[in-house]
Amino acid sequence: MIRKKYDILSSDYRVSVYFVIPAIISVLAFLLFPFVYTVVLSLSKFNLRDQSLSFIGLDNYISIFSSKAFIHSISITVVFALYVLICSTAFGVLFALLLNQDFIGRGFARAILIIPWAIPWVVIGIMWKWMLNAQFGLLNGLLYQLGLIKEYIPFLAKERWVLFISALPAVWRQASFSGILLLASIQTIPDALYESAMIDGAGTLRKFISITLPWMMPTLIVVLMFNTLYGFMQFDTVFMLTKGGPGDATEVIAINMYRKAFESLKLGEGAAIGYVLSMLCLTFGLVFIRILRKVEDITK
Amino acid sequence: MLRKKSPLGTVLLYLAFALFVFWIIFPFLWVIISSFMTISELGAVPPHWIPERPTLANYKSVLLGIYEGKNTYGTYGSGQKAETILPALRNSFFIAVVVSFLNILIGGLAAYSISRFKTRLNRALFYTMITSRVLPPIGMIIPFFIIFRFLKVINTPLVLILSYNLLVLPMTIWLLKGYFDNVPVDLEEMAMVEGLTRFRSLILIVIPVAIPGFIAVFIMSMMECWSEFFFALVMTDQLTLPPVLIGFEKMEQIQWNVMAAATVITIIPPVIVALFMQKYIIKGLTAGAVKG
Repeated sequence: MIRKKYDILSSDYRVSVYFVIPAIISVLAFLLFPFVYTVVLSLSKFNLRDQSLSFIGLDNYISIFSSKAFIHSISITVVFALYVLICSTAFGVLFALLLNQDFIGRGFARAILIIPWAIPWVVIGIMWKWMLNAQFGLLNGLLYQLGLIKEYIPFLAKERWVLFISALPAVWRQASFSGILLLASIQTIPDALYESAMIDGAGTLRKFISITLPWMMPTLIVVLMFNTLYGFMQFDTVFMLTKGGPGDATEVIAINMYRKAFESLKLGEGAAIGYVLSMLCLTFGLVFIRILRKVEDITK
Repeated sequence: MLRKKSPLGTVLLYLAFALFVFWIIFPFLWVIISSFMTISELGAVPPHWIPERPTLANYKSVLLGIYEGKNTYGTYGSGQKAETILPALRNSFFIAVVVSFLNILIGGLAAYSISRFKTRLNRALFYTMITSRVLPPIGMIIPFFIIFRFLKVINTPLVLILSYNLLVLPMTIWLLKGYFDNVPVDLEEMAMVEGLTRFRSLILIVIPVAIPGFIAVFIMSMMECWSEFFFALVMTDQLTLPPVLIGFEKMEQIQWNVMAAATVITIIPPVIVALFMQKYIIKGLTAGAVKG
């Protein structure tokens, strides 16, 4: 890359500024302003009727952190996100390894891998809800016809398991997303690497650990990041599947916030929850970006 | 890579292939099958895997508003023409197209500037974009809700167009910057030495090379807008498809078969685009994900 010094008065500098003005307006109006306003709201009591805003300090935070529902939603969100993270990533790695093999039908398999990614989150929720339906669901039908169950299972009514079941649509989507990225990364591994490993007599597992895994590490970190984030901020599929129920068994943070802000119309507390969620995601995201930088430095 | 496969290996491989296909396809099956069923066949236990009397009535209901038989469609009286999903289909498409074009214009200009001029302003903008990719849009919806409500534009396509910009812009700038970085600066300079203005060299030299990037970005932002649910739920009253689909559940009597038809119609466009434009999407996804 050619490095140049840009004079403030040169036309290039002016061009560079003109080109970013629309984006900067966009960022100021739709990113920074809402972000700051969320913080302000979270420290205030907002009356929707007369648009009045009164500063109340940390009361909203005290109120949400002393509410059992919010603490509960944090703890189940952590479980939910970890589960989404582990399953999606593991499935993604398996898909990528499988679709990198030679077999008849591989082209078809690679083509359908992208479908879950392309489908709207809400629709994924609808498909899974319908499939898992306790009275007419196809999964129940299949298990019944195979003789594996004697009567239909109400998958979404069992409080003990519902959190894990309600996470499956997100896993389904993110496993494909992970698989697409990881497969693309594996495909760039030069054959020579494997061939020399073969000459050295390395087994399949050895080859995976010392060639494939290091090669796809940067991609894997990106995948881990997105899987973590989508776990923590998941709303669409859970809302569709269970609306947070039964009881509060699947009331993840996003749903808790939605209820506080738009059902109870406590916008201040809702903003506080939104801010906590943002900070959680920001922390995780920045940690992953940091790790990615480190790994990229090493592999370069 | 596996030149000599053991028979056991082959069997396991095809078993894994079958499980993979099952995992991807199975969740679709029931929605597709039941969209061709009557409500009475839907309740069969065990379920019919192939409709005994396939019907297009559900598609007629959602597209033309024709409901056969007595009134089963919630609040609508019999004989009365019910609402169709056509307005939502049109809104969804309109919003997605407008956002995607705006986004390419705003994001493309910014990405070009960031790629070519390493100014402090550009660096700040780029890092803000990277950071915002990890922020949940859900966490920032309340200000949008309050301001748009105050401006009395709630429930118009405008609120979604403005707020979706935020969802797609970071990805666009990130991705297009990568594509622009791959266009050699020398090429542009040569053109400018030959007497082309910066603007003309941008149009004649840089943009043609980055066309795959534009296609990828356009498709990805279309899809993002097509799927967006949370903002549409909070700030509009069933303006676009996702909240309309959820709305079927609020009917007095959920008609799963009608909802299934609407669902199938919603997923056809993105699935077709994804299958045919796979090459561009995968390139875009990987470029956008790995480059920082």
